[in-house]
Amino acid sequence: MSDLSNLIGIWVSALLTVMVLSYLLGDNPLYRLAEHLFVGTAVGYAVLVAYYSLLRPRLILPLLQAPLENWTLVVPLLLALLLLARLNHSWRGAGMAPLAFLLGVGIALAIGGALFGSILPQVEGTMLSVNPADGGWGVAVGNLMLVIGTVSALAYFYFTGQGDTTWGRLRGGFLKAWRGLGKWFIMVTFGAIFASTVMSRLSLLIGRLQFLITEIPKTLR
Amino acid sequence: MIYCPNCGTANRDGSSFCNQCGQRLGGGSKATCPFCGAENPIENIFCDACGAKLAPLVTPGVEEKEKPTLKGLSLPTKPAGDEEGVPDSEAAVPQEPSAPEGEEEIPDWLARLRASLGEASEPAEEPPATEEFAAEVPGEGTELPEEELPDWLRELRAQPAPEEAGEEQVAPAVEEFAAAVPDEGAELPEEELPDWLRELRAQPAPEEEAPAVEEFAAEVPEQESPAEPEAEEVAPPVATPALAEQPEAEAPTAGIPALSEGEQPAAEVEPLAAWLQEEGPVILELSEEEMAEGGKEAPPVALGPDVPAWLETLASGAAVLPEELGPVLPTPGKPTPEEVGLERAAIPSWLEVLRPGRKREEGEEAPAEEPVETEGMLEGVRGALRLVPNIDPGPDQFVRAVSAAATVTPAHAETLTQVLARSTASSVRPRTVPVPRRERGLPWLAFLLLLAAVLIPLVAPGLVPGGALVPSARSAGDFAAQVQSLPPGAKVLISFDYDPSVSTELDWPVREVINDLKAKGATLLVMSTTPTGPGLAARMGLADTATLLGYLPGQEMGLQRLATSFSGAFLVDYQGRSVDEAALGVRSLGDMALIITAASSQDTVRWWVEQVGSQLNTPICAIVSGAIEPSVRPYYSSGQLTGLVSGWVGGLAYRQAISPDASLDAQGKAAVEAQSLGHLAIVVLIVLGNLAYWGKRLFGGRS
Repeated sequence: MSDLSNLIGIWVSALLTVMVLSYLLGDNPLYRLAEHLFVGTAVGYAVLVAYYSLLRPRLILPLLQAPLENWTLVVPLLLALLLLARLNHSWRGAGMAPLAFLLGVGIALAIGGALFGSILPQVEGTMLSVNPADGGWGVAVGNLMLVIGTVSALAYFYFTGQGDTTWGRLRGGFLKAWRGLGKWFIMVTFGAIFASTVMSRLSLLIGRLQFLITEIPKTLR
Repeated sequence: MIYCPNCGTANRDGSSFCNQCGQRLGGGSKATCPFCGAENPIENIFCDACGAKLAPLVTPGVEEKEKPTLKGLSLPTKPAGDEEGVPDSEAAVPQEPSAPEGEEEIPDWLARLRASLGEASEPAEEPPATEEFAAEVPGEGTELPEEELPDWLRELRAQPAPEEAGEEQVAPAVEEFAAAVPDEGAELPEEELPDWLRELRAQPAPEEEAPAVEEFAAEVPEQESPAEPEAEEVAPPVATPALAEQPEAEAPTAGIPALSEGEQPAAEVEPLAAWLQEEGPVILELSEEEMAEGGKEAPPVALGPDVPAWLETLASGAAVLPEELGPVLPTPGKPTPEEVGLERAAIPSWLEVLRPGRKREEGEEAPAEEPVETEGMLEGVRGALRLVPNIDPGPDQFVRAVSAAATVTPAHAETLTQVLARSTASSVRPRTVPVPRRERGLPWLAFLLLLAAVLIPLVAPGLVPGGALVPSARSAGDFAAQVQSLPPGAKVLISFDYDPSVSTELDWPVREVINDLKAKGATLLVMSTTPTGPGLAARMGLADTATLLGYLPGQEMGLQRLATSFSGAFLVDYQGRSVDEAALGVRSLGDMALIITAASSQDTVRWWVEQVGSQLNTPICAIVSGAIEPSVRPYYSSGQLTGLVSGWVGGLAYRQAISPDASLDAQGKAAVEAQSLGHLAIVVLIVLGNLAYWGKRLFGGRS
């Protein structure tokens, strides 16, 4: 039985892989069918997981088994029901309360986490020594490039006008030079991101081709 | 700025009532966009959701829209009595400026002329145009107290009635003017007369004028003034209710400059100015109606000293139309404009549609309550918009204003339909640059080259020399060192934060790490921040060798809770069994020796770093997809991630760091070779493409 289900799984997987790859010929019903199957199964699976790992053990069972002890769970239940009210156009305003609660908590956490988890540590990470005596010339040049790249990339997004005074024109010229340098650093960064994406997607292609080449012959033996 | 829903006037923010019409503003109502249904504040001009214009639907009132808008548009080739020229009562009524304008600009002579005309028409007896006016004008026999009379009426009473004074007597008020104006019998020097007056003199006697005016009066349709019961009782248009209520102020004098005192226009008759020629037909029309009533028995008019000579002549009933005004009123014996070869001005169809109060053509349906859409986009526009039912039932005024707008919209929408149909028919479709025939196969050629580069190593591994060489990576080495340093029995939390779409790329390095952790005797706890993560973990056979904690909802918030309180974060595991935290011996994440996140999204790695790493000293390592590696690497560079493995290449580097002497199996070698050759193919394609581009640009003459 297990072998049969495994066999069916392999063939269905291979068939769906070919259907998705048929998009190379253009948009077609086979690709659409595979796409809808993926989306549908993913959503259905996520709903089941959310129910069995969250709603049932944390909300439904406690309210059914000991409602007096777990009466506070009514609050999240009401908030969840109000969130569903957004599906109705007339009651959409009722869903603002839980949404505001979620957004408020989420944004508060994001701000705090970004400040102490990303911004300050990253700023600290750019305060590097450019003294060759600390780690050699290679490290010093690398650190220097990192500092220059960070500052110039930030200067690229500095849009304030230069002003008419002498100091303003001097500052404007200085910023213009930094902006030009920062633009090149940003372009190199985008190139690296693109190359990494290509490498990642190529890995996926190789994985699927390897599956078709190795697994399908096994089932035919 | 708040726009009045009744009249469209812009009021200051916070206004409770409209400055123009007193309409209550605000009221907490909202306007629903008739196009997309989105609710907007009532002061919005455009819809927040779709950008549709809301203000015109409520701005123009009915009365304002129905006012004739063709003021000043005259067609000189059309006789005044022509039905086409007078299609509607509203169009036939002379253009009346608003009362405030009249108050500012009416000259005294015209006020006195009106007073005289009104007095002269009193014997005709019937009240003027509307009942409202009739109610306000006292009856003939009614005597009002002297103090209740306005000044102008007291002056009139002081003057002798025309009948009493006789035709030869001149009102005292105009004695000075009469002295300055030459008598009818007096002969002015020929050179002092304007051209048109000389032509008048050359024309027949004024006795012939009366029948002509009567004919004109008979030709004027009766519906010009619905409130007038009989044609011969047509009241002078100047005697409208508004004018009667404000006798001293209102007059159709827009654009008429006031004459200064002392000017003697009658004595020194000059050719008519342009502005006076434009106003002449309007005033003449009034005089003709008056003449149609009174005929030759009309009493002499008491004129002011600054009345133009031609007006004085017309008022006396002894005038012949001047040459300039000939086309306006037909004169017996005088050829019509068509007869003399003048063509009737052709009104464009679009202008005809826009003309207020136009006559309906045969077969044209009367405006219906329910709009009808017959064909095409916005054809039969009245039904297409359906403004009223879509408006949120707010204040009554708002709905009423929109309903009023709906009645005047069809004509405009019909024009818009025609314009849109025309523009659609002649619209220029975007031109597509044809690809040269020799370049059409290039994408397929590139794809086939890439496919061959990937397939050849998979089918026949080992053909590419050095293709299985693995680059070293310091981040993978640090990851391996972190795993190697774990003591036996150390608790390691592994979070499967990727979805099946990238499992091909991440499954292999994750499996390598887990195998090493098992070899080190670590206690594995497996969780996921995505619903599909536990399934991926179970597929690796971790259900028996690790504790599957399952799915942690809440994403960033869930991780924050997990960092602060591990207890209660997981009630049941992936298979629905209760999680025995006491048996696990974990009270917080601080008890973990290592945290590993396998992620396909940079956000997930950031959440771990920000919400967990910033609160705990537990080292965090990451296994990520190659696509997000550049975004995650700064966290490794700053030390917030103690190890980083990126995709297959990172996995290979990790493997090499763990066991430098171990060799890859055949399948692993084939995959590495395929990836290396694929990268090489991509580089070759990029270089060739750039060479072709620059070669064509430098030598081909076109880009």
